Amino acid sequence: MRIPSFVPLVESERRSRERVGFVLEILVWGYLALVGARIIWWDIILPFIEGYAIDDVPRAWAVSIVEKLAYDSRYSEFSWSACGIVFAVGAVIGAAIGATGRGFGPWVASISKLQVNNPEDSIRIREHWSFARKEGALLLALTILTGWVLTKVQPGKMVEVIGLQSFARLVMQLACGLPVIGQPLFAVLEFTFNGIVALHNAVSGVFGAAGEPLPKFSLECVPTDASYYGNAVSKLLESVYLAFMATFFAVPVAFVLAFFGARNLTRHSAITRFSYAAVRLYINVTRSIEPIIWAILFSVWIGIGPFAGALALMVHSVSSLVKQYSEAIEGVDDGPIEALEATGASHVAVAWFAVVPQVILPYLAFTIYRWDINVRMATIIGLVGGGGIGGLLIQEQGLAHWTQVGTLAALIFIVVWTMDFLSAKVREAIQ
Amino acid sequence: MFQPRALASWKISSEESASQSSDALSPILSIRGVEKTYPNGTRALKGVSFDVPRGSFVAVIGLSGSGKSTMLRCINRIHEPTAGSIRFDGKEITTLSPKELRQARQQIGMVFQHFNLIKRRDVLTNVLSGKLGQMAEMPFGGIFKRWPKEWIDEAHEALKLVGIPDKALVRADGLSGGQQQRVAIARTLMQKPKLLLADEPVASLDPSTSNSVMQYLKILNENHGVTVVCNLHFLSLVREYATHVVALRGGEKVFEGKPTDITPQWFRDIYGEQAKEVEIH
Repeated sequence: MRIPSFVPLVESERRSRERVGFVLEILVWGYLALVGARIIWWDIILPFIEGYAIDDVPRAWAVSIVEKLAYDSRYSEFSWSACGIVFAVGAVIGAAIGATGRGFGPWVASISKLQVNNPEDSIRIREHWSFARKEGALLLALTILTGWVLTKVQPGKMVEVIGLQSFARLVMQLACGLPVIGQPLFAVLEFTFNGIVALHNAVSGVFGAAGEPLPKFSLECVPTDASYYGNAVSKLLESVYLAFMATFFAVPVAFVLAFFGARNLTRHSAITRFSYAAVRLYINVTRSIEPIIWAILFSVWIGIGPFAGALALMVHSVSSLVKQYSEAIEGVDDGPIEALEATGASHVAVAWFAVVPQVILPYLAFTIYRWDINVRMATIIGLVGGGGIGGLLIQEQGLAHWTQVGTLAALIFIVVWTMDFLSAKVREAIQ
Repeated sequence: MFQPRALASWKISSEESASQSSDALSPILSIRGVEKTYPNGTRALKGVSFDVPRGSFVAVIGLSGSGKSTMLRCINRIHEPTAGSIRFDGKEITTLSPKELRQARQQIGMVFQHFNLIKRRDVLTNVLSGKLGQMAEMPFGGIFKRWPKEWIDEAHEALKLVGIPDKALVRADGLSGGQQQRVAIARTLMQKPKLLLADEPVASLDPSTSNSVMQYLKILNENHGVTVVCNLHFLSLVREYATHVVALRGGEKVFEGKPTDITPQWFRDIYGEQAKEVEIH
């Protein structure tokens, strides 16, 4: 598990890095073994063999394998104890490779900011890690394969006729709901889709494919009633203001918390180091709970409505803003901080005079972006009783009023696009 | 707190500069066996000792990485020394509580290679920030308090002293390098320091600007009685301005004496056999 001396490392950390690299190597091979057994063997190879065994003309070799393993894709399960055994086997392999100090784990563990001074060393380092690079490539390839299997990627589904027909029908109804351009767009889509259908029928006729020719689309576009817009717009404004309130009241809270959540300002005493950990814990917990869950919590607490939605967005905004703000603080130039500390200024004064002027621009940009996000999220919040246009949206969707859903989506789009335009202008102005 | 005496005629007399615990002849700064090891294991200082006499202009020389900047930052504990003793004006710096340290820092000015101004604020605010030490014990470090009128007058006077009275309301990043360094000197003037630490104050300036900035440090030293400890790269500047020289190499002191004592042999000892002296005028 020794990492050779020509790999640049802070000497006092060499031992601990070697240990970390060794453990990583064990984990990597445990993972590789698990993926190899569970995904490649269990999900790809075995079903493939089984396919031959239950074919109209069963192959003897496939039947014997399936019988020997008592495998049936409908009932068999990959047990947890099998997982453990496979992982253990992988871990043993990992330990053996880790002991040579050449694997992916030691490579990752030894990456440091230190420079190599001797050009010969950099060649030796390249050679030393050649196996590690291949291992890294294998790791990436197997991970992509696993992702492919787990997300059930089926490109064939994307060109099935029934799915495409339903998709086209829905798109046409949504398009019909768009204000002003709805009807012409519907006509264009209808013409295009029917053209595709005609083309499809012609081509399959030439090749003599079996089955009926596809029917043309025969939908009617009934545009949204003008009186519908009044209600929709007022609900939309509710969402915009809800988002504004959530952002506005999140900013001062986040502003204060960010100083306690920035590494470079919290190093000097045990209390501030604790505050750093506490703030980080708080923002990570609140951020990992989706605003939609917060909205449910608050609507149970204070009742369904926009206020619950605003509180949910505020909680989420505070933690997101603290994260962005404190990272901006961590990126400031140390010089002015040093200079003001040298005058004997207090920590608060240093933060106010040396840090705030440096972060005010990024803060403004983050805040406007957060408002933009909140407007979009406010519609989602409405889905669970947080008020605003989201409630209307979920209602229409539930009734399969796709034209109305199209109208609402168009209204939301107009607001989001306006927000984006304004925030770009503001960011330009405050450079 | 505020001393209404005009800044231009302000001078630390030898009686005033010596606190009760020490007499006027004792060194203002006495450094003994200071060591500094950074968390990554770099040993920047390996037991450095020297004295800084009252009213002197001490130049600290040495190659980049020899520990000059670390030495300076250990004096006001911007970097905590790992071991050793630093006595400033008869007081042990290394054991001060945070509050006492802030009070000690008020008497120690500092200027930096990269000026370290608050770039987006105007020059006046930058100069006034030299007074922040006096607000340190107020609630919230005094950030909600207005600057007293006297301080603002004093800041204008400080800017006049460094020759840029007309720049008070200009944003700091709109000034040239030399002007920024003069703002930094004005900022430290507001502290009326007994000791000024200058960390390569002219290393990012052109030669003629360098000389004018050094002139201002000299005025502080000679006319106002401020003791100066200054990291320098150019021996010609050392010879022209310094009264004492300390040389560091690899975190150890290799020379201490008068600028005139630096012989070619010493020069090679400090900077290595290959070095050749570059002149700056």
